[in-house]
Amino acid sequence: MKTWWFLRASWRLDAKAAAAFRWDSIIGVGVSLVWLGFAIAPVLAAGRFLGEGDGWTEARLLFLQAVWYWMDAIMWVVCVPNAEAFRQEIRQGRLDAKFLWPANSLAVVMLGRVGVADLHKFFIALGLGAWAVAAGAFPGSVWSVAGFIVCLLAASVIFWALGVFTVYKAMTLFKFDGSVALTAAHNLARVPVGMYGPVLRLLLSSVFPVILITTVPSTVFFGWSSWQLPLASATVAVAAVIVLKSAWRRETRLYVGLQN
Amino acid sequence: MTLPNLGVALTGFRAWSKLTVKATAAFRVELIVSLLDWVVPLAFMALWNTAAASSGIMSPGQTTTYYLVQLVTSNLSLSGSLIFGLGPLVYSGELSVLLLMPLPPIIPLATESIVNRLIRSAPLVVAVPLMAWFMKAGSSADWRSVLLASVLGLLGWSAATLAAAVYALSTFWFGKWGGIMGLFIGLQWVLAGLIAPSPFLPDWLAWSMRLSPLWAAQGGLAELLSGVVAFQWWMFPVVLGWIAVLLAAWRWAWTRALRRFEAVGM
Repeated sequence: MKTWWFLRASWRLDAKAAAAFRWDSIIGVGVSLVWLGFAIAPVLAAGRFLGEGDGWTEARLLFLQAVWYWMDAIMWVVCVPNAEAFRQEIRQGRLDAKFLWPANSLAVVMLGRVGVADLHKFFIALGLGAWAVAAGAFPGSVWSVAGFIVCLLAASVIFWALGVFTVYKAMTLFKFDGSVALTAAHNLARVPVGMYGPVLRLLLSSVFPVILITTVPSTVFFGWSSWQLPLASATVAVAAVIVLKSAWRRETRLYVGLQN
Repeated sequence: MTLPNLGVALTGFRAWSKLTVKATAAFRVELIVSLLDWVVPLAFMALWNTAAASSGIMSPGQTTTYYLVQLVTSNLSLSGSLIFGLGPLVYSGELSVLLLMPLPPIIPLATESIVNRLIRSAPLVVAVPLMAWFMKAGSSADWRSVLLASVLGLLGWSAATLAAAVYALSTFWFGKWGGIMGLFIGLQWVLAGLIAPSPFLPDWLAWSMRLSPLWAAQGGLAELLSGVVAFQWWMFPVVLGWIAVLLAAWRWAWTRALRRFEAVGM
């Protein structure tokens, strides 16, 4: 309960700070729309040549792009602001104070900041998804939609956990920055994993489960997958959080505060 | 500012290269992690290999060659480092120190980027031939095309670097809006052919790409090497023309940009 109180207070502060820079937010919407154009351009161009192939029509690829853009929103609204604040707090010694708060340190440090200026990305993702459905990327059934929501939430948690994994080591290794791994996972999720060659397909489906980020939620939505997949996604998300909590606890024990 | 004395520029380049090599070597783990920078061309390669199979425009082998060349050239591009590197120098006041040196501050910045890019791209020397063999890359280009493409690619790289350097100067006007600065990278994705080879695009877009300063270094080189297009006479004048225009634009914009610089007070 206390953790929730701290998070809410922190988000309110971010919202007020963002309100003071409204012009930045307006420019941000324009820039996001232009970037969305760059992101979906390959799909729109390739869609003319794909036909029905493996079922990945232009409309279905657009839907996958909507899921990908949702993850882009998670990255810019949650992962990046918290990672930047975390690094800055370590350098300035302010992280020590957060550990004294009577709340879950992982939550307040890695969820405490919100990139308010990028919140519009969630709405753009929803709009793109609606466009894709209108263009022919229909859901398999009502259960497919429910399964998709479970997969999307699980993918969001997995993506956030990956974001924390790429930065938490900075507590003991001051210069550590693995953010490129998060960007790589995000970029690899731009296309369905089935389109990669056999080696990459195997890697992205097992060792580095990038498949769970965009491919699985999309296939569940189209009704191509069995009911076990949403369950598997949720299980991986829970497992990722448990492993993350354990790694975070170990790292905080090694953290030596201001002497860094 | 006029162009620097060549000897001074070379001395500056050599000294800065040594410094960058030492600094990069000190962070080996970061170097290994940075290899993941590769993945964007691989994602688009997967998409276009699928699309090419039924298109009849390029064979999957040619799209593989195209994107392997893109993989190398996009890793050697300095655009990101120049565009996002100049801003912090301006806003932290470090630019004041660099301005005391007898060469334009863009030279240390570019040198650092070149050395970093070369070091980080070194594993590609092994990875690209392996991927080409494993993914059955194909090409119908002859040796004359390969030679001409290499020269064109080098000139194209110079044009693309100059274009990025000129755009980077806009940091003096609106550098605090990182999103606007980043639009150049998005434009480069399109014009340099990273999102798609030009034969797959509508004519108006394909020709906009070919006549831009960003195409020859990446998309043009990749198309020539994969044998999708044959070398044509207009390719060299277009790139050389852009180099001349961008050099003039740099000289014009640099003095105006510098007038806006208020050292650490920006």
